[in-house]
Amino acid sequence: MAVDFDGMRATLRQVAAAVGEVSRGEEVLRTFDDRLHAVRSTVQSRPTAIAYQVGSFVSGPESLLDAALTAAGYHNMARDLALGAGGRLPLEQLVTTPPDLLVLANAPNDFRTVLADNLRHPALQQLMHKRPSVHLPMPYWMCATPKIADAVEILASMKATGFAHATTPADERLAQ
Amino acid sequence: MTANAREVLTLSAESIRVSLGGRCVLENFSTRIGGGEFVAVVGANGAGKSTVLKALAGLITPDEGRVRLDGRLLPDIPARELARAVAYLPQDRTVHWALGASRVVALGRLPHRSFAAAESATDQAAIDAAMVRMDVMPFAQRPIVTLSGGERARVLVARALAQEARFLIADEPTAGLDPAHSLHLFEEFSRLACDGNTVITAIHDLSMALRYAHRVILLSGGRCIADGPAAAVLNNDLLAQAFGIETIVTTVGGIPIVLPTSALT
Amino acid sequence: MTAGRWVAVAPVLTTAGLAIVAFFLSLWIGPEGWGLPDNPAAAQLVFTEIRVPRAVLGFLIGAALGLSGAVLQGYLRNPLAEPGLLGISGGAALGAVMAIHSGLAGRIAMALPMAGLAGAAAAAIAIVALAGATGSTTTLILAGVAVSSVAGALTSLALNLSPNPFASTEIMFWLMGSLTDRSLIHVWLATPLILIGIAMLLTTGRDLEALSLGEDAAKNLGVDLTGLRFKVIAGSALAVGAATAVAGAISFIGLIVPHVIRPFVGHSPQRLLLPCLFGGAAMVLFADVLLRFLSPQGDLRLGVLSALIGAPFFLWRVLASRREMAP
Repeated sequence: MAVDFDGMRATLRQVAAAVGEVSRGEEVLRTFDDRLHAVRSTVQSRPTAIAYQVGSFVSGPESLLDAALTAAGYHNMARDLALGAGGRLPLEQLVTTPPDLLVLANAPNDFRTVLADNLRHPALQQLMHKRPSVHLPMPYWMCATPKIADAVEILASMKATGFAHATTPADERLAQ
Repeated sequence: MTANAREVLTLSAESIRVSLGGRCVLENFSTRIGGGEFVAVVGANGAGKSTVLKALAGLITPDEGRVRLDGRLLPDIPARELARAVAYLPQDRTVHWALGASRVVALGRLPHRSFAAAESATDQAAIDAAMVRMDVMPFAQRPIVTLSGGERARVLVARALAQEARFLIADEPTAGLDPAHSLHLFEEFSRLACDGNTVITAIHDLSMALRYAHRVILLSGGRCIADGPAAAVLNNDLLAQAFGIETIVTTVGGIPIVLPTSALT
Repeated sequence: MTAGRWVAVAPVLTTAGLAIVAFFLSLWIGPEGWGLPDNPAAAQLVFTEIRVPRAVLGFLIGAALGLSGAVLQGYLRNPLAEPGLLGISGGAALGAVMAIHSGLAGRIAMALPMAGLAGAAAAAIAIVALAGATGSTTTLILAGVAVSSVAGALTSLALNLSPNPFASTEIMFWLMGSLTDRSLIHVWLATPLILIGIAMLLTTGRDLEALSLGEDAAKNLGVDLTGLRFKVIAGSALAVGAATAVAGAISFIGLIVPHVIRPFVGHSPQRLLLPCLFGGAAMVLFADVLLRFLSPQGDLRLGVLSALIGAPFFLWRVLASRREMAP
């Protein structure tokens, strides 16, 4: 399981080799690196962000979401909490000290279980009303694919526009 | 305390039939009891004594026939009203929790208290009187589980007395009691009957039945084979028929005794 | 009889006091320690949307479990009886898991607790159908064991077959309970049902006291045994079913609380009820406060902690009863 961009690159090359499409794999990676570079060159300040998930899980360092947040110019707040690659951030703590951008990494109804009650909780919904937040569906980040570049661009554009279009659902882009 | 009013109260069974688990345990049983009688229900094991008592107390509903209290069908009488009229003392003396003895006796007052009401002075007086009568005051505060079988039996009788019902139905109340307390209990029952209450008790001690009961109902195989004055029922022929025993019925120093001599085969 | 009255009142006051203290502690503690956030807007949000629902549910759920345990032990005259024995919490868990499995949970808001309630109701109906409206208490225990094992097996099966990647965490929630991330919506859903259930259970005191002498004597004392059985089963199904539907099965409270309190009320099944209501509330709330203290991230489960707290009490009772019974 790849937890950063290098890991993702390695996985992609493996897959490309396995299906005999080495050159196409390299092309995909080149595009990916170009897109990433375009975003990175614009990073000046680093507002905080957190990738909040089902069961109050948040992604710490050594996770793809952390890599995406960092690449897009954010400081992943989960790093300060010393939770490791992933851990729980109680909803109450999130509400008390919210990040500059709240990244909701699951849709409220991704999981139809009590575990996902945190995503449907009124306190979270009120927080999302008041603070900049963006919904980043699982297909962007769950598996290590170059699709993570889309996530990086969405996150970077949120920052570039000063969180003007907060809560813009990324689903529309996903549907295209 | 209108003694006349009490005398007219009767408990009657009209041709009742009871079956338990598909087996007929009591058939065509009729009786009419009341007005200060002391009735002993006598019979061999499985003859139907407990069934008769439970049917009269309204604890089991007969398949056929009816039981009436003073003319009213038992099922038509509200439970608490029936509880104030008829006290029932089961053979089973289990008390499930380590309640204090006086708290057990106080249970007898439940039918007299409205919901959630505390014990009144009348309740307390009845409880104390019952405890004095059964000689259980010395261990009033002790948990019932720490009492001996006989002591526990007396506490449970006191509970039934505290109910102050005009009918007392007791299933083998003397089982496990020492001779002194057996005598004492039957003296107590006689006194209750003298006061105009009616006592109905199942008993195996035929001498005690003959000595204290006004009337004996003799059961055999789920049928009533005799019902009449104790001296008339407890004779050799009927006892042979009911128990399969030969007996000597005599008096010693003015006290009647029934002495089984041999089992008939 | 002032001494007697004091015996009845003191345990109620003591347990109520403990429950109130625990309630305020629960309002006052968060994952970052005592107190509320400095930011007033955040403080308000945390207090009304997170702390209040948690404390209120903790109180009500504990009250439901403690009271139902006391009533069931009195009714079944069995000190090992507890709400889980009737299969009501098992039924609630099964209902919720079925809602997850069928996809119903994703389509309708609050479908999970609703399905939990339906499961509790189904379990109660199954128990009455199996044991009858008037049968013996032994039959009722057997029916409860049957229903709860069937519900437990079906719950495990549904989770086994579930495509849900969090199935094991899901099992943990339903079997070990949790008050994490409960909201006011859960409060509004569960409160009326728990209160109705509690009210029904509280009316059984006298009848349970009479039942100490056995069913025949109780009936002779004017107890309506059929009505009592209805109140016990329906009251437990409402109170415990609603509690389980919003917070999962929190075991041990219903078993342990009556045991701890019984010696202080002279073993009276009637006097046991109110102290068990408050004692259950206090125990769940204290456990939940301790939980947030020990495991701020919420990895430790409430049911586990309540069992850990409860077990020493239970051991102490076992040893005490051994001393009492010693010749």
